[in-house]
Amino acid sequence: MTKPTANRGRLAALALVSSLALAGCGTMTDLAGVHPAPVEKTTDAPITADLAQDIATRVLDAAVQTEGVQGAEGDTARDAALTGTALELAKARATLGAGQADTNALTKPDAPKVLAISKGNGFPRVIFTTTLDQNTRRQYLETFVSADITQPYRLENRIAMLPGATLPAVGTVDAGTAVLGAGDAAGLAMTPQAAVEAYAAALVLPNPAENEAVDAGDAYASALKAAQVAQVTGLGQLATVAQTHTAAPETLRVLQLADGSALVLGRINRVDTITAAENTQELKVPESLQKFTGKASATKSISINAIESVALLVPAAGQGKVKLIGVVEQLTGGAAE
Amino acid sequence: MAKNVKRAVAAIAALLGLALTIGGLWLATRVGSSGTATFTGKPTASGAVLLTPTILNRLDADVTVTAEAVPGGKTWMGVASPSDAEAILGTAPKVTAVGFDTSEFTLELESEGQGDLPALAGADIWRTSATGTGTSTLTLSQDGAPESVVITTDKQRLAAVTVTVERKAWFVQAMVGLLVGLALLVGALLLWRSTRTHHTAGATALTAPEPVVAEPVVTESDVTEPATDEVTETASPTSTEAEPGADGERAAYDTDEHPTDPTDTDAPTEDQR
Repeated sequence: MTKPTANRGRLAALALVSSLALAGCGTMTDLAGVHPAPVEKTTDAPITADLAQDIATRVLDAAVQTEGVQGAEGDTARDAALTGTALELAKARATLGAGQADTNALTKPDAPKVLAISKGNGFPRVIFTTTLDQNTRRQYLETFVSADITQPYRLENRIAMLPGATLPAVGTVDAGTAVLGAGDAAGLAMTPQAAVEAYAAALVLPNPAENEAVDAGDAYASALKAAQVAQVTGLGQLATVAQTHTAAPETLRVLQLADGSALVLGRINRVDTITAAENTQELKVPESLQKFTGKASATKSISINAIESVALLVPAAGQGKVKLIGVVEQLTGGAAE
Repeated sequence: MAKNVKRAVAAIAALLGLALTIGGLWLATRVGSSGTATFTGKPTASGAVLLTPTILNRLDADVTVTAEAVPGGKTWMGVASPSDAEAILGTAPKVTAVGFDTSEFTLELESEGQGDLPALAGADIWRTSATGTGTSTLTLSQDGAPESVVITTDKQRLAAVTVTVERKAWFVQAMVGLLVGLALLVGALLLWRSTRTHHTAGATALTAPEPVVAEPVVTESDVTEPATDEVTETASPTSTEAEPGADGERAAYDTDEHPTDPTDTDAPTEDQR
């Protein structure tokens, strides 16, 4: 039989060992659940997809509210909600009306779907979304831009996709999407600037500059050509018709897509010019265009200016041609001499 | 030597036990049964208050930030990525919480910067924001970590900023610490007592194996008559009651002083001595 003194010794040792084992099973910080703060990934998207969604919804709502509002109040509201090409188009619509393209007016669409957020925590930052306008059943592509950290995002582009056009996958929203410069080749068939300039040149009428790397047979280009043919036919020997398209490289916004191609959103300035023949005494300005020219007739020429807000796909090198997937046009002014 | 080691271990265990007991009690009273710790900072300089991931994202638990304005003041607070929060404040005056003082349950604040604050609320960097008259509160989960919180007021400075975090395990750990501390104290006590008890038992063990030698009683009759076994077996009570050890040895010498019958086999022989 074990003696009581031995029992007490063993009990004491057991208590000591178990206590030390319990007390030493981790460091104090481990026990308290404290760990180092996670490190921020500054190469990913700088804001969350949810925040981007909220921003896009808010800005688009604000932009729609400014539609058609004239005067200083409208200008202030537009400056707060829009920028770049979208602002130019909105100003033109407010002062001159939508003209021949009534469907270009901003209407309240379904909630925007965030497709991409520019990666990195630098500026400018871009949110790229798509919306479906239930009224027109047209799919739109939008970019929202924040110029610096104190500036809120504003709508920079809103471009209707061509019927049947498809946009390749952009990539993971949270990981962010690279925003390229207008002159970045980045494995592309050509630089974004060169692509827009080549496409613009291919639209010039009557003598387009054809480019093997550019597909100028899209619905929009075809419509322009058809319209010009109708004009030429209608005018006969009274006048000549010409159309120039000039890219505005400073307006380009370029997003790298998942397959190595790039989406280029930018502006092309178009000028339609009708020049009277030598024997023509007077040209009548169509009533719908008189607000742009300010005159009902001209003796020498009539010119109508327009902005073409375009979305072009620039493929990776060797993967196809540059092609148009979306466009919005807006008449912005004109002259009659 | 072993006794001293045991006493040293007992003393260390007692100290550790005492510390754990006191610490467990202290933590339990501070965090309560809900395991809620609240750290408060009172800015002494003007400017925005910046709470960084060092404050907000070091525990896997929701963190509630409460901003308290001075009487009549309003507060605004926004949550952003750490780099954006730093960038928008730039060199503007700000009070940054750089750590916790766990003894006082306060926020350690450092102020820096000068000039005017930029327009913070209009920037599109805020994942969420809150405004309030007097007090405003935001709760952050750890899903968006790492995050920073920027707090401003329309007055010169905030009255107080409080960060509250709830972690039920803290109360459990406080209780475990308390129990472990008590166990250590008990263990130390038992260990200490065992050293004292073991000292007495050891002395007994050392002397117990010594044979108890019956001291022959020498009488006058023994001198004249040969001793018999009966005589030797009638050991004197004096002999059996003799203290063992030294006295016993002395008794053996005493037998020399009182010669016995050489035929008595129970008597110690010269060899035995």
